[in-house]
Amino acid sequence: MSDTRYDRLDSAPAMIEARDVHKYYGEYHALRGIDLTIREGEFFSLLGPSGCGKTTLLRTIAGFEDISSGAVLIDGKHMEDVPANKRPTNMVFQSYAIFPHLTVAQNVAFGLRRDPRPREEKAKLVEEALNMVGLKGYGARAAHALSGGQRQRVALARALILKPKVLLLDEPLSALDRKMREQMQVELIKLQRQVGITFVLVTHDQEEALVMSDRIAVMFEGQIAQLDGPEALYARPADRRVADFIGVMNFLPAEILGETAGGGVRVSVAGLGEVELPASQISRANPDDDGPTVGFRPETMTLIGTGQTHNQARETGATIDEVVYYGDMTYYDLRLDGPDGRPAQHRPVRISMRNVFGRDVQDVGSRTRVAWSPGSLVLFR
Amino acid sequence: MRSGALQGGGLRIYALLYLLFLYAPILLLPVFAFNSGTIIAFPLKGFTTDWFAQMWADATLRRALTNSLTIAVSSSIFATCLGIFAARASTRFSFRGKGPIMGFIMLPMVLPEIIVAMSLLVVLLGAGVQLSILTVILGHTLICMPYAIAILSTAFSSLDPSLEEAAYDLGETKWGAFRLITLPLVMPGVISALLISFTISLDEFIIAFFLAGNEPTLPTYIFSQLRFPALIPMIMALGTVLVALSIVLLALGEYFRRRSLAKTGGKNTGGLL
Amino acid sequence: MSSGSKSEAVQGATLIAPPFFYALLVLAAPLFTIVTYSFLTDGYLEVVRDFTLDNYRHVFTDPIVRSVMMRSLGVSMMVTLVTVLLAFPVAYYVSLVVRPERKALWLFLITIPFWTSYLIRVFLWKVILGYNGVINSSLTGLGLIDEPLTFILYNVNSIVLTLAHAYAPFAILPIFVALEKIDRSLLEAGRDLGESRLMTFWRVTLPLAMPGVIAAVLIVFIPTIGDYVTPTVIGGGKIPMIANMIQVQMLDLDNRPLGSALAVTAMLIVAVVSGIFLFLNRRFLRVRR
Repeated sequence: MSDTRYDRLDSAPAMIEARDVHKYYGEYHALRGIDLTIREGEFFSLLGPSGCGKTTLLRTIAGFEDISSGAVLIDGKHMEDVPANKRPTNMVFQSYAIFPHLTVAQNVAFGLRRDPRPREEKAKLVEEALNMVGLKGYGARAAHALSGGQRQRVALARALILKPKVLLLDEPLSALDRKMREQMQVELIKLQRQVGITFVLVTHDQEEALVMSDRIAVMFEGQIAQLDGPEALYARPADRRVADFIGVMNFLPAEILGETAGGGVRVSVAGLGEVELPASQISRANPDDDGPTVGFRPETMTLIGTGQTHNQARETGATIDEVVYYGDMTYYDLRLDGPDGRPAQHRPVRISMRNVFGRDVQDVGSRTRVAWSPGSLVLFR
Repeated sequence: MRSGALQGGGLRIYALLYLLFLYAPILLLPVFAFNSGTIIAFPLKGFTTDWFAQMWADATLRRALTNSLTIAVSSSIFATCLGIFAARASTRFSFRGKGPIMGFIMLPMVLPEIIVAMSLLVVLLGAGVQLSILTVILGHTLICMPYAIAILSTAFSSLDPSLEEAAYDLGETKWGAFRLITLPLVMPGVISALLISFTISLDEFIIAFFLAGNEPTLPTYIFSQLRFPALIPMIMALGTVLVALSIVLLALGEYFRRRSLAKTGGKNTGGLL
Repeated sequence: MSSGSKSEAVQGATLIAPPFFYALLVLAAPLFTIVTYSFLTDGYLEVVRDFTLDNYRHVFTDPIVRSVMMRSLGVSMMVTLVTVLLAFPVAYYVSLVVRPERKALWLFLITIPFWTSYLIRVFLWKVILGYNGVINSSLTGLGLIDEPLTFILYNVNSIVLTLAHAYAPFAILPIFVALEKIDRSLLEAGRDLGESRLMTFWRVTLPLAMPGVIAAVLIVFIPTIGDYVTPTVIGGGKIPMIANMIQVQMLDLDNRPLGSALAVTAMLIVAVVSGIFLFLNRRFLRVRR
């Protein structure tokens, strides 16, 4: 993702605005004060575990659900009295919702039924839409005979032919197998660049969100826990739930030794010793955590003696607990040494090493050293 | 299931015998309908179509047939229309008292028919309503409705709710989405519900017997003829026609169901029930 | 998908209104009427509006009423037992032995007789079993017997046979559905763990099929106890069951309060028996979990 895309999005006008949106289902409080702005031309993701309210939020934008309080604006207009069929949004459903009794072309042309343009012109539009999603020549096929990936494309063509200002995608890739999913991720990104409109994607798959999105809102229990670009989400999770949810993160118990100037702290971390962390590396802990913890990503540590060079500041002794070989990567579960040289009493931490040609995989039980930098640590307190 | 085949042998024979038990009485119908003997007994005498001719010439029977068809067509249409409302309400919406209300509407399925017939009769007589085929239609619509709802609920609930939302999202009105998407997709269910309601109504005896007044329907006509031994061969002929008609209707229903499954790519999950 | 929001509830209520009011008018009002009647006094050609429990006293003490009630219960229990026992192996065969693509055909074959005229099927048994019926006349014709056999018609056994035949498909379908729902790997697991085929059936298949069996019991029991046609046609009017007695009191004797009390009692019997079976089913399911 280039900086220019970011810069352009930063200054783009708002397309969707949610202002303190609440949604109740009877007693159940599904959305608890959602505030967000999605920009024109942005690929935006709503990410979270099932039941976090992401689909509900998407459906309130689409107009399928009323909101209990607050406001939703699309392209600067209040949507309160605008029903789903009059909103400038179109949706790709999780099940694709392809009309099984119609042909591919009839499906794609469905939204044009009330369009006054002549038949030939509509047929041309359908043809163009099918070309755009790579289904040239599929128009006469029966919709129910299509594969999962093809249905997905029909659903895209059917929604995009109406030239919506916003395309809403509800877990569009969850029904596909892994290979197909990865291929569709790339195609969706390309498609979004091509049509240039705002895409709002709902997903529970953090990898999918990281790969595709310009910005991601991570949701838990009806609230947005963090709204950021993929890199910031990954490197600086706002709290421990987000850190847990996105990628793998190791957590080590820590003890706060004292505050430093500028809001930083000095902490003693089990297995890593004393470090000083600036304010930018401090996030919120979960309410039910035992105490402060320090987290780091598996790839931020380097196993010494595997032929890989590093320029990390500190080194620590460790014992290899488990080795998991993944082809391109090897995962090592390590027990870091305590101050007395014996393994510190904590759960093993996982670090990942890229396998390069000619490098040995180390054995279970062997002693080793790992290199790390304080800059890759995040304190959750 | 290699060893299952062995075990299936005995079961298979049993199942076939069971089918024979189910069909044996029905198989007698055509045998005696075409038998020229006036008493129903083996050995058979000879071939004749007289009984069918006699049946055709019977004016009361023709009246009974007209009545039965009128009742069955009306009740099946009413029951199916009401069933569409109820099935859509129960599968698509949640509202207060849904469980008890649905249970109450389905009650005639588990209520002995004599009780439905008697209680309705008492009220109709009390209200001074003239008994006619209209009163039978009233009763038949009530007892057919639960069956129609059961079939239609299956049809509605097997429908992906996002289909209708998608149509709405693509600019259709709610009614348009229902008409263009939902209705065509539940059409097989609607046809099944119509056929089954029709068959139930055509076959129903007790309500027709008590609520029709002096109007005959096919079952009450047959019932009235049973005490005349001389008329039994004609009843056999009538039975043959009715059974053949039922089988044709069922086969037709099954054909439509499968064809629409093939068209929409649904999975075949068993028969009309 | 149900959002529970106000407009959804309103739409649902609007949709359910027509069938609900129809049932209210044609079912609830009549049922309410006979419940009311059952507490009133019978006068000559009219119902006197005096509250009384005499009708129920009569229903529960009169020996004739009691014997008819007991016969109805006995017949329908017998029919239920016979039907379900005969149906289970067929349901088992169709669900677990028949190849999947042939199942629809079997179900179709089993359900066809159900959709042919009930009256004609009952009548056919009379034709088969009657004094001059197929069996008797054939046997006499062949010289095997001199006198027609009389023990085969106009008795409880012939009523049971006729009803068991009429309700056979009702019993197969719910058991079949329950068997279909059983995860096939459970059966394989049972076998894999060294159980014999019989033990697997006894410890895995049968318990899991139990809800279907209970449903079959109810679906056969309820209509048979209220059956009117079979006792009339096969029993020759000499062996009345509840339905016949209700009809006689209501119409022939014009004693609506007593007829209503009988009808209400019949409904109570059905409700109690259904309740017992549903309770058993629930208990059973809880034990399974």
